[in-house]
Amino acid sequence: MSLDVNHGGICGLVGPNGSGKTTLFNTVLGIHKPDGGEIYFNDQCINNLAPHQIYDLGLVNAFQIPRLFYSLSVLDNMLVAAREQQGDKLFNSLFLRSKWQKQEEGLIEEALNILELVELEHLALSPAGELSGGQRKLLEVARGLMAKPRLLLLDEPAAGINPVLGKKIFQKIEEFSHNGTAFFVIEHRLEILFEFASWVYVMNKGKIVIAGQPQSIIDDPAFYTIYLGEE
Amino acid sequence: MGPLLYSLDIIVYIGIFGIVCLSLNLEYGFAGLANFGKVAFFLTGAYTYAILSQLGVPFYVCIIVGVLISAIVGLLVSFPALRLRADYLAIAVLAFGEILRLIVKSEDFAGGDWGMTVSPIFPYTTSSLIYRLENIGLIFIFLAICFIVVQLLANSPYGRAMRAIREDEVAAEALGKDRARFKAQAFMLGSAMAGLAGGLYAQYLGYVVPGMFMPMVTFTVWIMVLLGGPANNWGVLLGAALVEIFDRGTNIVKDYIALPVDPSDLQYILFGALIIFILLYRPQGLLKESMITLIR
Repeated sequence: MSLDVNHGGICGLVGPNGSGKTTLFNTVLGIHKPDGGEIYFNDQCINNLAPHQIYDLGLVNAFQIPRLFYSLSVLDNMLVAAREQQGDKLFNSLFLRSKWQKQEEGLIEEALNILELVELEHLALSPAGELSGGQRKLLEVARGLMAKPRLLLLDEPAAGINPVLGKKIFQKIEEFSHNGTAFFVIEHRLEILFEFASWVYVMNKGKIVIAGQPQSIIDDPAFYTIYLGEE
Repeated sequence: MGPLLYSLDIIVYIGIFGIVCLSLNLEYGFAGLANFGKVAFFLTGAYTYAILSQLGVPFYVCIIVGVLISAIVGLLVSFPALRLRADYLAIAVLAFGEILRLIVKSEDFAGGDWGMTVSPIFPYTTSSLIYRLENIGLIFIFLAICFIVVQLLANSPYGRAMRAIREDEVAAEALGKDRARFKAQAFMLGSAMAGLAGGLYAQYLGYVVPGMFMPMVTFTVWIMVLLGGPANNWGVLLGAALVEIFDRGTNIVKDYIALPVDPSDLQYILFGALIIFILLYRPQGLLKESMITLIR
């Protein structure tokens, strides 16, 4: 398959269950190794990079089923994702505490701001394991935003949360996209995705079968056959 | 040995095993590495200390070299071992500990079965009481240093990353944490600390023999950590104290009570029962995991 995701904006990826959307994301992220082909990010081939190296390039993921650090607090979950932390080097953590503590203050403020956006600020010091299913989903998305990605892969960010909050998440995603972050989003809540996405790919049986602006997808009868299994 | 000397001896052992517990806490409690070969690095430190002290090398040099060699051995072992799944890692390092013990048991340079004598830094000539007090002072200084190091690491972004890797290494790696680096460093540091404890152990006892480094040492340290509370430095020290007192206590009691089984076997049975009890009813240990405290 061949697809491009451009700077800024929201690009959608839809398709029936089992069409390979999450597998595609995991392959892009280096979690699964591709059988063939090449994946480029900002003109750099990332096929053989480890996931942490892919993160370093600015490509970040929010998992479909939240993979939080459940015994850590909500705030610590956010801080793990922060980029270029001076205190996560062995030497610095022991001997240069004042240096990273200053950075940490800024990161905490940043994390609390993002948590406020997803209405989790009041739970910042609670263990992530105490969150409800919807809140876990929100934290997964918030953690992705904390990583200041150039491209954030979101796997069903609105699944399992109420429609109002789902739409709110997309509004926040749109705000972030104006700052230059690109979003590639898998979503089954098509009414929300199509409202915000500027381009949508439709996937079926491991292949991209339709691509276009949301309205052109909606107008394409083949989409309904593939996605809903009906004419 | 009188009750006072016996009590001081227990305190010495609590100090030494407290250091080993902190090292396992760093590896297992914070980084999630099931190191069942702890005794290998304890042995490395002890034998390095013994060999160098026989050559007349000063105490601090013996200790530092023992720590460095243990750290290097830990790092080298970590490269192949950390590619393994947790259960296979446990088996691999357990086997490594036994291999190392059998090597020193068979080789002349390490004294073979008879082991080696070690020159103590505090002369025996003073008195048993003073000798123990001096050792307690020395060992607890090192224990305090190790405690501070592990505490600083645990309460830093580095410790947070280690805990994240322990919880979900795929997610942590996707968020930029190089799990191989963190795990190798945790293994190296943990091994260095176990080597330090080994050196102090050899110095205190005045000898080393292969029988001191049976796999049971590793299991005892695990019981201490699991009982006290993994990922809680105070907890593992509490665990070290309780298990050591329990161990010595049962040693005394068995002299006064007629038992239907061999008293030494009963001790192992009690240890086994204790670990099952902890895992069933108090899996988090006596003290639960400490939260990360950075600047807030």
